Amino acid sequence: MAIELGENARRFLQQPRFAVVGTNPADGPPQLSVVWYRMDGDHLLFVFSRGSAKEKNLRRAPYLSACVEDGYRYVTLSGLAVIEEDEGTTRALLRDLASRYLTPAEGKVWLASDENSGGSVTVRLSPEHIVTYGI
Amino acid sequence: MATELTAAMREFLGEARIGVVAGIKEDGSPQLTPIWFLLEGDEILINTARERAKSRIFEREPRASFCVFEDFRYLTLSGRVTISADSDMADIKRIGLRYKPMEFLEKRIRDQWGGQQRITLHLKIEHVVSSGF
Repeated sequence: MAIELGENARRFLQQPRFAVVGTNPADGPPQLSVVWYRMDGDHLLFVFSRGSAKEKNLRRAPYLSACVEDGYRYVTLSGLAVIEEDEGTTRALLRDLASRYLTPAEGKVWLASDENSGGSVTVRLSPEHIVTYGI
Repeated sequence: MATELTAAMREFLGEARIGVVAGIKEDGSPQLTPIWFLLEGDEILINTARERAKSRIFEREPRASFCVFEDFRYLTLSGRVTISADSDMADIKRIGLRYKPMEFLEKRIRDQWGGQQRITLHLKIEHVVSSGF
C-alpha cells in the first residue's frame, strides 16, 4: 500500500538531487544507476531508456528502490513501479527534468540528444516503504 | 563490461564518499542503503550490525552492487558478498577512520557498536560500470 512521505522527506526530495535507483535482474547482481527524477505528489517519476537493463528488469519484476543521499542525510524509497508508455507523457517529463537540472541552453542540447536516441519511457514509483536519516 | 578498476577510479573510491549498497530481498525487490566503505585491493568493505536487515539479506543472497557518485561521475561495482565477524572492531575502526576521528569512533563503540554483533561485508568486485571516468 502506498504511503505518505511526510513534510521533511518531501522537502528534501523536492531539491534537484540525484537518485540511485535499483532494480533486480533474474540473475546477476542488482542493477544500480544514478538518475534524475521529479516528484508528482508522493510519487517519483523517472525516465528510463527503452531497452536499458533497468527497463527490462522492471518489466520482469516491478520493484524499484530509490536512494537520494546528500552527505549524511538520506531518503530511501521502495515500492512498485509502473511503466508509462505514452510518448507525450515522457516528452513532457524530459522537459521538466531539463528545466529542473539544467540551464536553458544545456537543456536544449540534452533534449535534442535524447530525441535522437532509441526513445524512453516514464517510470512512476509509488513508495510503500521509506527510510530516512538526518532530514 | 570492465572487470578492473583504473587508477582514477581507485583515487575516486579512496576519497571519503558515501556509497550505496544494494542487495536482493527474499521477494525479489532491491534494498538500497547509503553507507561508509573502504576499498581494499579488489574488495569493497562495509561494516554493519548483524541485526540489520541488510545483513540478513546478504547471508541469504550474496549478489550485491555498490554505487558511488559525485555530480556527473559514477561507478557501479558488482559481485558477491562474503561475511566475516568484526568481533574486535578492527574493521569498523579502519573503515570509520576515513570519515571520523578515532575519538568519535571510540565513543560510538562504547555507546552503540560495542553492544552489537558487528560484521564486515566483503564485496569482491567482478564488474565495473562507470560514467565520467
